[in-house]
Amino acid sequence: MKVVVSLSDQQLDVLRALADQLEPGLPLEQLLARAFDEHRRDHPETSGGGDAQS
Amino acid sequence: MLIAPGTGLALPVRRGEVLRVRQLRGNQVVDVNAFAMGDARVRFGASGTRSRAGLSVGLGDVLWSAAPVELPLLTLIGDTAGGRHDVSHPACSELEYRLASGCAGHTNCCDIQAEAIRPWRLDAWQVHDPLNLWMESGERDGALTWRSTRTEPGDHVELLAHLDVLVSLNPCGDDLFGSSAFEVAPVAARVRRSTAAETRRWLAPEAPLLLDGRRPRLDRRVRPRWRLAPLRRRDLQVELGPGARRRLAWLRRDGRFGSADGEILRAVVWHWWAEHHTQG
Repeated sequence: MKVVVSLSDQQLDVLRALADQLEPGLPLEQLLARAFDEHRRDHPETSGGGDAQS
Repeated sequence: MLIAPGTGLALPVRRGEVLRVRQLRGNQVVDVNAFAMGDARVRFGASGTRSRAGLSVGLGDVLWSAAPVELPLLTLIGDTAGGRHDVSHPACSELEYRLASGCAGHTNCCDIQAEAIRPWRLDAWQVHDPLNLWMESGERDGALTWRSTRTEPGDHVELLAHLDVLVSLNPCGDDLFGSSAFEVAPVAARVRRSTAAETRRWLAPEAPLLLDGRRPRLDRRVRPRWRLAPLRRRDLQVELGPGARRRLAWLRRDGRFGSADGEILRAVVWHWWAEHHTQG
């Protein structure tokens, strides 16, 4: 499924820097999809949804 | 008056007047500084207020100025969301975001506050620890924690002034750590006269301020420079893998990540980033 996500320029700068660090040339859309998968792995549905606050 | 993301506003509130700060989108933390109009050295003291009211303030609590002149500046007399409001954490700073992300120049409350008060002949040295509206602080194992109060559009707080004060406000510049649902939103502010009942119930006796320090004075030639406003946004279309629909539904039920798919995905991405990729 496709999801549209709205990000500020400064958020995009952080994600671009991270994408370049992880895998130069990695498109942001793929980075976000990877983040979603890894979050699911880290926080399976038997657990809580993850720390929502600091 | 609307206060846009990436900007702030300093406005005078006279003794007996009430400042209302209102949510427009909801879930937006707002940083507040306050100075006596009679002498800018008399300014909000978060630590003294904290020692009297606790890590956060609530309805009826007084915001005090710092020593050596400790006076009641403002009292929280209205709060539609019924939360508590942090007086324990500092304003977010450029360094905080740079250390965490490796990227310079992020919107931050210290810089925004400094620009907001500059037309009043005040500067960055006078920005002080804030009241963080709609952010509640706590303690766990000796460390400070925080959580945001869930608010809807129209939710507001009201602060009654006990003496003439200059109040400086800004929507918190955080869109990485989730204090404001990962998107900086505008808020609104307005000032009204208190009612007779409010005056009777809340207003402290008048305390003349017999000091000769610098008074905040508006210089209309000075305009704040909002380096990152307007905050531009871009939409990305992300193809998620098998099972995404079920996962999104589960996260929606969890409730902490938002309700729309895009909002949930954005929150997930920044939680993942915080867990695995912050640098500081």
